[in-house]
Amino acid sequence: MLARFALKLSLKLIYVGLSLLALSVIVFVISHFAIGDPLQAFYGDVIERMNEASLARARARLGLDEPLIYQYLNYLERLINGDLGISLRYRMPVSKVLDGLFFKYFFLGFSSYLLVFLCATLIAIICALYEGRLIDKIICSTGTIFFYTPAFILSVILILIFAIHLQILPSFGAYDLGQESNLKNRLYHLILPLSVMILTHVWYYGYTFRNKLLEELRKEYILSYKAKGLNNFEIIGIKCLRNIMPTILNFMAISVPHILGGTYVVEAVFNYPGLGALAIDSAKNHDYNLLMCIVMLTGLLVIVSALLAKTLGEMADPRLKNALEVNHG
Amino acid sequence: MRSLEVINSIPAILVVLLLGTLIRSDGILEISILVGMSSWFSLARIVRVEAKQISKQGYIEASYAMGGNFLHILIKHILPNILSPILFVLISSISFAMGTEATLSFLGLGLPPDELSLGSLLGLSKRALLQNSWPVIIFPSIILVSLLLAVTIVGSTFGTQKILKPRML
Repeated sequence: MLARFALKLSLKLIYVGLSLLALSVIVFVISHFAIGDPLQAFYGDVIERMNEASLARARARLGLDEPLIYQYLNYLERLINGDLGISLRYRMPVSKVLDGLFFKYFFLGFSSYLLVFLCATLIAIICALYEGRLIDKIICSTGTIFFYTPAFILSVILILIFAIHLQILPSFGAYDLGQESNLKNRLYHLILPLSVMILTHVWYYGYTFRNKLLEELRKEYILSYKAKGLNNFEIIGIKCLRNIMPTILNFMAISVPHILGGTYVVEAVFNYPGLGALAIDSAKNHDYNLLMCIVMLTGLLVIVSALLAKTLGEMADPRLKNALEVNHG
Repeated sequence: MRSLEVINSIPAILVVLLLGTLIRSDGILEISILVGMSSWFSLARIVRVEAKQISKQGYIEASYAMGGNFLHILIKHILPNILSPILFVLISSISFAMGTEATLSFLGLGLPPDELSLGSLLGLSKRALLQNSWPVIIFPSIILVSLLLAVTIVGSTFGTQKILKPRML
């Protein structure tokens, strides 16, 4: 049992490693074809005053005269050693720019991820309970409209209503000046971005879960629950929900890039400091060194969290685990 | 397909941003290429899954046994069967593309304000917020959202109804 678990774990780790390797190849190739001279990016305007010999020396030092495959290996080595290159805009190492940002502002993404799925499940249960009635129809049509509203429009409209006209919520930033460690102030600033995230993402998942619940409700075993005397809420909210739990966890595994992409736009609109705002800022300034590091970081985050959710999903579904064991042994 | 999965693990908006830095775009054509280049992954995946599912059916095997070659099977049997999901994804990706263009223009990475588009109109909304002139924000938003909804409804009609599905005998 333990050996099998260890084998499975190591296989998964190999998968993560391979995915990251593939990602690094893609990023390297893109950076190689990027417009702009890497020499100029590294040395700045000094390069125009260099003569041929020192140019060649500089090229050799940066490894630019070697074959492409060696350049890639060098790049990989630097990446593993934590040397991420130099940000062209901030004129300092990328690792210094990203330092602390990653975990400090991980908050918005993580909380919206959890809340989206919580709300989606709740909405699915409510819709399934009142299937075909007015509440279901209202939720369905509002949900569809919100789903197709681009996040930035919704953000701007919410800012217009709550920050400008009613003046009850702040419209930008993660905290007021001098209130960095004040948790209440931070939560207060989180309300608007978080509600945009939930409103624009919840319906896609809520609708899928609703349909799954209804599908489950049509199955025969429900009849025996009804005969047993359980009411509708108990059947849907407890029995059916437990059966579609693996589907929910599976969706959670593949939805990380979807929700993360949403936070990028929302962060940019609300000036909420984080990876997304930084990514858009660096795209505006053609700082592709920094941007590629953000891509690598995001890829790492997505692959690892997808793996985590997948493992959780397998643990939550005894049927799936049995099926796996039958396959392997 | 595995490498597509890896690209898919990055949020779409980030792919657009990354490609955008490389192309340095500000014309309509460049933006179109950019959005197109970043949104074909999901179509590729869906076509692959659908085609794989159909190629397992009995009549494909029958056609193969009767001497139909690869091209014949692809065009006569598989293509008509996957046309409806393809059209569904294709039309929904129109609305995705419109949304992406609007988002890019709003963030200041898409079309410049003198090129008229709903996105560049909405790109003015940040300034409009400061001046508190709400019509500049509300009207383009209403038009954009209703356009997106309309396109999606057309797409889902193609996807669910049997207009394009070959008749089963």
